[in-house]
Amino acid sequence: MITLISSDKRKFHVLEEVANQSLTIRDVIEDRRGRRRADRIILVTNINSKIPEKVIVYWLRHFLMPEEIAHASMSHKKAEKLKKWEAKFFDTDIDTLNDLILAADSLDIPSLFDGACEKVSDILKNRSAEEVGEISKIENEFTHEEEEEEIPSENAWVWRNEFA
Amino acid sequence: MIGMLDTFPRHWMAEEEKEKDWLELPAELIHLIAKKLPDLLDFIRFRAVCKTWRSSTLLSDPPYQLPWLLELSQTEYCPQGTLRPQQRFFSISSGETITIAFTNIKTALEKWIKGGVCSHYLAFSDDKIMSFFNPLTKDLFLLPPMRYFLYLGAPCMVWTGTAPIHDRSIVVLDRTDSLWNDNIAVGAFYDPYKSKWVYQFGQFNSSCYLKGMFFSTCARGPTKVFDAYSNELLHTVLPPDNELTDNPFDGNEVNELPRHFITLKQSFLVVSLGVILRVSWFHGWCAKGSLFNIYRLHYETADGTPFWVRIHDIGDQTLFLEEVNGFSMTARPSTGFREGCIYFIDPHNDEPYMHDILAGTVERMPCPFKRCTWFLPGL
Repeated sequence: MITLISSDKRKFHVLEEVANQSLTIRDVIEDRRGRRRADRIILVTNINSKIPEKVIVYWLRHFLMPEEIAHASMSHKKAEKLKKWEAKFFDTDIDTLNDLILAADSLDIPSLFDGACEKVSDILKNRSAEEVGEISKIENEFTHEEEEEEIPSENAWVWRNEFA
Repeated sequence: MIGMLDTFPRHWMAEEEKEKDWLELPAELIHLIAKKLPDLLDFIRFRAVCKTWRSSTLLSDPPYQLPWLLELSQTEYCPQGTLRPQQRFFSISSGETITIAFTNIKTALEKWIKGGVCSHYLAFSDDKIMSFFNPLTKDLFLLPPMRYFLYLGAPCMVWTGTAPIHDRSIVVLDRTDSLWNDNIAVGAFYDPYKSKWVYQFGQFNSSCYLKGMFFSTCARGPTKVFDAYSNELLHTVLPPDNELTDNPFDGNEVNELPRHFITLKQSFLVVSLGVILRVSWFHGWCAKGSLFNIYRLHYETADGTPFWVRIHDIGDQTLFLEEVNGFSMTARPSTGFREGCIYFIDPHNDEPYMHDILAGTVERMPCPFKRCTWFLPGL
């Protein structure tokens, strides 16, 4: 059993085998193997407080069928079920997705990272640049030349369609 | 207590509760999200959102793309078609029709086009000048003239470099018309080192390339395996033992048809996740009666003789078949394509169909064009 401590000092006790899905944690545990018990406590202070919960839920769901995930031989029914579950899991607001991506990146959990990135790309698809800019409150910061000449001239076919 | 604090990126530790921008991610993560966008249109729009997003992504490094449908014109004398002044494409994942004008490029117009891969089309004119053409970037690569004119040559293009006719690329053109099935045909291999064509006589039809080997087959015949560089014949693989008698109609009531109505129309060679698949297409009275047998090539056998093994599932892959060649890709649900399915073009009317391998169903895909073929967009 290892203990994760989040920024708001909450403790999460997780089975080592479960937390091993994070390659970063796995390496830390590997490094400290055979040392004192206190070393089995890992600080993850920089993760937003609701994120560890989500991550652990994700780990547990995947831990239930580790072999099936490793092999493509997973039965179709199980695969469907897992996919449905993942779709629900990632169906969340953009801030959470943002945090999940950062958490998955630094904890090195490839499947979680891919899943969250795919979800973000799904939100972005079929939207014009202006729409994305509006939703995201992102300032484009382009210079006048870039906006008027460079962007429209490369791949002109995209923009022509936009106004067609 | 040893924390992991040091291993985290600094930007992340910055604030407790500051109002956040949407997607406040570092550049390398922005890049990874862009790589997941299902459509080239989305990628180009993504790059126009803001400066950071633009500078984090490279136009030369677009996301993995699934094919679009390219509209073919109705021409009597050409089985494939010509590029039009207003060429239309259809993106299945976004449901958008893309129109590209070719008014300024005379060389590309009035040319016959052939199926292609790696985002280029084989264009050839009446005077037999061939070139590879990318309709999105309008790049044109002229190929040296050929001694034999392959009237129906569909290209199996293989290049290991970044651009066609690159110094490390191999281009293979070959084809026997399936109507003349067992006729002797000419295969032409482009040797980029000597920049000339090397010819090979034999039975060619569907072909593919894997790990330095070039595979070619005709509908009922054996598959030949060549060394792609030296052109030497390595193996001759016999067709699957029961290719004609393996019953693809087992437990499939939708397609209960008298056996003699159904013929083996075409065998496709497809590279899928590092293995060679042979997809035997049985054509009934119409495309909806189509069924497929899939075999996998076992070529690391004890006595060195490769053989075919029938498989019933292609996992999370999606196969795309056109006139003679095919390709395999991984399709996420959000891309509009389904995994474990075969998408094919019926050669009689050039309409796109989808076959669900597990369900055994065939349905026509929604498409705004009368005649079309696959096109892999690339920049």
